[in-house]
Amino acid sequence: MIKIDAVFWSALGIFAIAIALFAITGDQNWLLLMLLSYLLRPTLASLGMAKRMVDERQMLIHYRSGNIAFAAMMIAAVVVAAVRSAAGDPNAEYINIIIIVGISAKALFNVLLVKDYQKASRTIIIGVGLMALLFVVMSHGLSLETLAEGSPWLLVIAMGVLAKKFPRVIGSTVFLATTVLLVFILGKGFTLGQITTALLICAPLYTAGACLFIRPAEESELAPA
Amino acid sequence: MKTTLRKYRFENGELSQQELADKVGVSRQTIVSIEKGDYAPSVKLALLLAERLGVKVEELFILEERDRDQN
Repeated sequence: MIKIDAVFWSALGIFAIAIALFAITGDQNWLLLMLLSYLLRPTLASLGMAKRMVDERQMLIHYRSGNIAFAAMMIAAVVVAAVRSAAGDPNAEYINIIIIVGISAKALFNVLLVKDYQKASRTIIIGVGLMALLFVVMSHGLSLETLAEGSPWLLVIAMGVLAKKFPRVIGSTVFLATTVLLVFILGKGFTLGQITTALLICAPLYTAGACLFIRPAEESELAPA
Repeated sequence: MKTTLRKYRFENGELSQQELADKVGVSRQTIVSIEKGDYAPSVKLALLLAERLGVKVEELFILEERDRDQN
């Protein structure tokens, strides 16, 4: 049954705008806006903005279908990327970007939603460091270049390890280092590849840096709250 | 898990599923799913249902042997 409320009217508005823009410009891409109207309610509810409009069973259904949809999308993207790559299409890289962004976002939120922000920040910093190091090793093999390019990432991993003892110092250092890295990455060019690299590396590191400033919750198995 | 929700709903002035749903802030379909045993509510919703029906939560939801076997 369709629920007629504020979210319904907002979704209908987006739908109408998509149709109107398509009619005016003749560009089919505007029809993709319709996806927004379909995903509006579960997205708002997931972000805690429409909790009263979706009950817990409906939310559970959205989560489950979302997980299945994510897996289906990833499988489809991997298949298309493999087929396009085998055909020598250079644009297959863009599909890989979508796959990496999706997986990274899932991993990041899996860690953050546990709400142990101190542990989450360490996991994120070490995870980003290890991923970048793996990428360097895969690009250059065992060489001096690997040593030179991989050293900064070893430092990042070390920061993740030290974050438990010195959360605020490491948090500040991560912020500073990430800003330098962001300027360096985008300084190489403002292309889609560079923006994606900056997003994949800097967004988790900034998040981890911010997490290190959140005071850990007191935990006790003996005392009642 | 077994539920006596339907029984207590009728004992409470023959409340309709929609009326009970409105009282606890969920959809009618959620009440239908709970009564059919297709959906196990959260602790919060179970307590709300028990409160609205004036019974204890353990009278409304009863663990079965197979639920204990799962743990």
